[in-house]
Amino acid sequence: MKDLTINSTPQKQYRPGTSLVITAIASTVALSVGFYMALIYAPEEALQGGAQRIFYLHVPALWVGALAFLVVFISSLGYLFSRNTIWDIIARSSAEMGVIFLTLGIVAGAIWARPIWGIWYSFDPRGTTTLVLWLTYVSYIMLRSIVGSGPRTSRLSAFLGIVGFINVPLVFMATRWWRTLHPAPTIVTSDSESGMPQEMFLAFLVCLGAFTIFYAFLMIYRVQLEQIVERVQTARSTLGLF
Amino acid sequence: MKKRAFGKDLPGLIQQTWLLLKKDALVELRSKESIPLMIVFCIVSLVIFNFTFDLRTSNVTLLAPGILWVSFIFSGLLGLGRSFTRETERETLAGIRLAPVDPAAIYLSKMLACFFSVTILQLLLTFLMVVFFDVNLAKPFVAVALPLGSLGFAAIGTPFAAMTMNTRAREALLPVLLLPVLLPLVLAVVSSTALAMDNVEWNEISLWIHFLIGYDVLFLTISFLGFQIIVEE
Repeated sequence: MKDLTINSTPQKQYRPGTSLVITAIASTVALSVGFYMALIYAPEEALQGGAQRIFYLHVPALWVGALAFLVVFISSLGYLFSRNTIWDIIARSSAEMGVIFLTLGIVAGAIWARPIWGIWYSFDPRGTTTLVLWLTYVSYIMLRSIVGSGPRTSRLSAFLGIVGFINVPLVFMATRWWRTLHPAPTIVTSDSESGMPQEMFLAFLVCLGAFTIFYAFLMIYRVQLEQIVERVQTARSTLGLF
Repeated sequence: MKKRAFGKDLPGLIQQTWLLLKKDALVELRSKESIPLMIVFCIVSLVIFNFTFDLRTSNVTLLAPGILWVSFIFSGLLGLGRSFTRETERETLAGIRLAPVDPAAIYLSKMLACFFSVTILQLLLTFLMVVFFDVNLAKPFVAVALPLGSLGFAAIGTPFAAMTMNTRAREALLPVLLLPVLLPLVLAVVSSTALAMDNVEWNEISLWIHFLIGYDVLFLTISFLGFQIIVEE
């Protein structure tokens, strides 16, 4: 990436900036500390045993997934109001990150749920909402890849980014009421969050922070890469090379 | 059509919507392709549901609300896709845009056209449910839930159909994009239909009816405002 930047564009913004370097180092350190704390420092849970340690991966991954889609929502609004392509670049980069982290979170949750709940997946409000969020943004990426690039794609996906995000609380409400009005087998809820020892909570917080920094690093990297791609495309079309 | 300013004047908007709606009705009456297609698809799916669920449950009536709405949504998606495909195939949408017509009028006319055609579908579907599954759907709250469900479907379905109209694989893309957004609506209409069939009191069903009204108002507003972004050139 460095070579390309220096050769093709003398502009400052395309060098791997200090923000990228800082977040790269910070996320490496934070993730190492986080995994150490999750696997060694945090005490073993009395009832669930080792399976509980998935919690340190599962919750931060889903948190980052949700955060990524908040970013898609905000930058979709930003794009529609300003029509500046940087917002569109942020939105599409964040949607990709969101899908990756949500997938990680859902898979980790399923691996945990099998020994603890006895089922792989539960269609409770949280489970369903997460799955719908995942589906919405997978379709967001599909829309982008099918329609191709250009301002029309940016507009359409901004609309989808907004509608998809607004839909999330509706899904949550509807599934919650669905369960309360239609009695269904109740699911054993985990009490790990309520009576959590301090070491566990600390390990959890470190993992949460580490994942957030890692997301920031990936986003900066991805946005810079997309900017280079856009520049190359513009240069090609001005030179008549397609 | 008279040339009109690209304004947001209400009488102009109503007139344009009315003219476009008449045009859609006329095209449908002459071609007879969209509504008959939905109806036949709907009958086929009801027959399939009747057989596939028959094996595992002794009483298919219990599954009636689900069957009703799944058939409705899938048949409706078929008609929804057609409504804009027809415009792009004959490049009429570009003509309408050049007329010039307010995009808001295009949205309203398409949404109402969709609402009317799915209402026809729904009346027939309700009749078929009675014939095939012997369920009693003549309940006051069913009559409230069904139009609210159709309106929500038309409200949010229309901009999504417009989004996919010029794309490759649009027939597959439309349901993939739309179904996650329709999920809360489906849950609400299936619940309220089921509760209405069980003759519950108003206070038990009111939560879902209010949810449906809220969903319809929310997505009518968002689609009305967002439609301009979608059809913009």
